[in-house]
Amino acid sequence: MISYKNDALKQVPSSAQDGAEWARTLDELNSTLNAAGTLLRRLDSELVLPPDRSAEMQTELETVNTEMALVKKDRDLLASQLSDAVVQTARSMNLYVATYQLHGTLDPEEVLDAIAEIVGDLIGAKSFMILLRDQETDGWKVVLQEDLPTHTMELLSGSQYRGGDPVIDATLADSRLRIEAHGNESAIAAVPLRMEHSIVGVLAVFRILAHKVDGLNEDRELLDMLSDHAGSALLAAEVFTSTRRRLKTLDQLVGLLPGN
Amino acid sequence: MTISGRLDDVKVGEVLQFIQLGERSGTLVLQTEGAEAKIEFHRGASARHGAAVLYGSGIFSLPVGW
Repeated sequence: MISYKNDALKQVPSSAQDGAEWARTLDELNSTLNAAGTLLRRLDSELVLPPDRSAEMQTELETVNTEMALVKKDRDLLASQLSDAVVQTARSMNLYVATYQLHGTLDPEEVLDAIAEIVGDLIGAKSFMILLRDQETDGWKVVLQEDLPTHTMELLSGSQYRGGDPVIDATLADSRLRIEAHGNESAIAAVPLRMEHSIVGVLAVFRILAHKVDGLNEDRELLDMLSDHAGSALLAAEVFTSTRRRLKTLDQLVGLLPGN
Repeated sequence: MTISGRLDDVKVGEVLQFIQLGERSGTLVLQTEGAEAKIEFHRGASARHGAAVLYGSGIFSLPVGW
């Protein structure tokens, strides 16, 4: 509802002519005001306030927030899975490279070099040795060693392993791979080098790089691969070399026969 | 001509047989870590030899043809 009041309109006109004009003007003004009042009332009646949706919007906001949290959780999970996949891919690549290196040559020295590279570069061992069965003595001889701790000299007699390291001895006895959290002075890992179901050697690790906080557990696949392939690769190379040498010897002896 | 090889790969008897069958002349030298033996051959027959006992694996060498 609108009311309008203007005291100036109630002033007395100075003449009859002015009075008529004042009256006409006043009528026009009243008419205009009435029309404005009518219009305002109409607008007032037509004005419909929007319903109160604040509660609904609050609910929607909470729903969106919940979904956002789920999306964020999914994103974090995917990021974690991607990271795992990258690590797994790197491990698979390492396994492929290592296996290729092991079986890429038939020279026993090169196979030993490949094993040393895998153990040193991929596994991160600083101090290790490889024992192989000595056919002549039926004992175990050291065919490769790297930066052995002083105390391990007590385990060796020349190039022969005398025994005395509990981790190595246990693996030689039951052919099982062992990873010890705290090696003290004994080996922190003993990896059986298997040929089919029999043990032909052992890789003994005494120290690893300091940055490998999880120790050797993270390299379990590589160690398993070494266990399955290193011994057979070494034996295959030795058999190939000895067979080739024997063939050469026989060729020379055949050359002694008449007609050669 | 000299031939050589490891006694892991061939038996001494086999070497002697080849020398005999080939009627070769020369000196067969047998070596191990602890001993050495020399056997001289003339046309496949042993002409002279030094006493020695061989244990385990070793090598042999045979300069032939003199």
